[in-house]
Amino acid sequence: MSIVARALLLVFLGSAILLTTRLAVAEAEFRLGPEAALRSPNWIQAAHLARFESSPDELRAAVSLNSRLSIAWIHLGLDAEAEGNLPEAKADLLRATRIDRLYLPAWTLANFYFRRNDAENFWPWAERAAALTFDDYRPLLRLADALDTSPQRVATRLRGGTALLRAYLDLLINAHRLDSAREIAGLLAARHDPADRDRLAAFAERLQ
Amino acid sequence: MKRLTLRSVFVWSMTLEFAIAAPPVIGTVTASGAFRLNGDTVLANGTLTEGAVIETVRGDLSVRLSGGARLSLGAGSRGRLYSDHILLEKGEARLENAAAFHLEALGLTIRPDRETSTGRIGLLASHRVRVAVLTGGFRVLNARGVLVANVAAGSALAFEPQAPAAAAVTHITGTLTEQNGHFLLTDQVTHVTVEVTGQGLQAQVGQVVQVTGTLNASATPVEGASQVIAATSVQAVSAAAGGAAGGGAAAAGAGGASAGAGIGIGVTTVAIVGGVAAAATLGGLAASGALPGQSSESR
Repeated sequence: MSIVARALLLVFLGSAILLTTRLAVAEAEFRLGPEAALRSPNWIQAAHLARFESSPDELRAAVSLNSRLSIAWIHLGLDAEAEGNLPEAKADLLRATRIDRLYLPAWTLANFYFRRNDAENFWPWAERAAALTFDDYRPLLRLADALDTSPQRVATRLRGGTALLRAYLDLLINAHRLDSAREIAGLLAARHDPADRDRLAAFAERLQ
Repeated sequence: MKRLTLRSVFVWSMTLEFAIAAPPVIGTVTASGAFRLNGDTVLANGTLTEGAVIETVRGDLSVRLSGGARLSLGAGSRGRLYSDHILLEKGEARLENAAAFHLEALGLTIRPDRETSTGRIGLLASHRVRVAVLTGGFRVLNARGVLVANVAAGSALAFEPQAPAAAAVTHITGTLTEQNGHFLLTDQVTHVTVEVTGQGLQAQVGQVVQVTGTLNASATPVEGASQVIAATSVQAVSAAAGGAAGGGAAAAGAGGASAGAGIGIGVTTVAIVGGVAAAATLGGLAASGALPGQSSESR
């Protein structure tokens, strides 16, 4: 092995050891005292600046202190959208989704594309938001339903589980869209979940 | 200039896109946590469509409409939003940058009189509306579009629509002036200028008087006045029994309405214009948010 190759290997191993050690120290600090670890001046200052009523200047200051503050990127994106700066809005919201893979960035971006009537970009983020929804599917279903006339296609595009189908069925019944509800009832019935027997029976009775 | 241009493009693009696809989007809503949108629980932000019902759960929420208006709802508030107005059903709203936007509550229309107007409008109990103005001014109109009050910066007024039977009753106090043979009076509480018609007015010109009468909807007021009031009673304030404190009750009795004594606004001076009782509330400036902690009367 040449000297150059050895040097490169050494640098690589050194970097790996350094990063691993930093992570181990950070984790140890957090385990020993989570409150102290969160008392980092930068972290606190950034979080303080990124409240929902913060001005764009405060939000920009927040992300300069902590670039992984997804809520600040979301608000910057919404501010940019309100000012008509759509490229910046999209960039900020996409950045939020890259650093935060939870529900809120996906939901926000799905809404952004909904407002632009951009169905092509809406569906991937709506699907991600649907996968991360843990309680109320209805807000997302209302958006999706407004963008596609076929409830069956909506359910398929959102890759909806049983909980989503139940919510969608109830939403359509409450909106007195019984023909559409029949499509979703069919999908739900195909899952043969005993827990849906009463819901489907009540719907069938209503159709008669 | 750049800001206005960008906003225009935003409005234009939204209008174009949603001319094709329903439902029409009117703006966005953001909150510090969860809120209710059309009865659904929504986290942090959402899209507003025409007629959307928004309700705060905990904390405030902020609305940005594509027309440029901004408003926020306080905790425990609910309203139905349209592109040009909100029907406030519960709680309190704060309007800003809302020249082409207005708020409706209890049949009253509360409209900013300029783009820079900011103010808080809240429902007190289920029958009274408070308008507290921070900057600019707000115009308050009744259900028939009659001007009820001009609320200026730094002041706060409470409004209580009266029973339909008393809708035409007017009771106002101010200095009577004459202009080309017409008698004008600007009410001290509501700052509404009316033309007064009736007997014996000439003798009262230059004096502060309490006028009780009814709205003459068919008459066209002289320039500078918003309505014509046919006076049934004109009294110099010094002669009014009990001074200003008794004014509301006396006027209501004279006008055949139950308004004055039953108003219950609980302040010293009560005006009734267009069937709506109005009175200054405690802490005008403090209520408008200009001077937190101030508790003196604004007038």
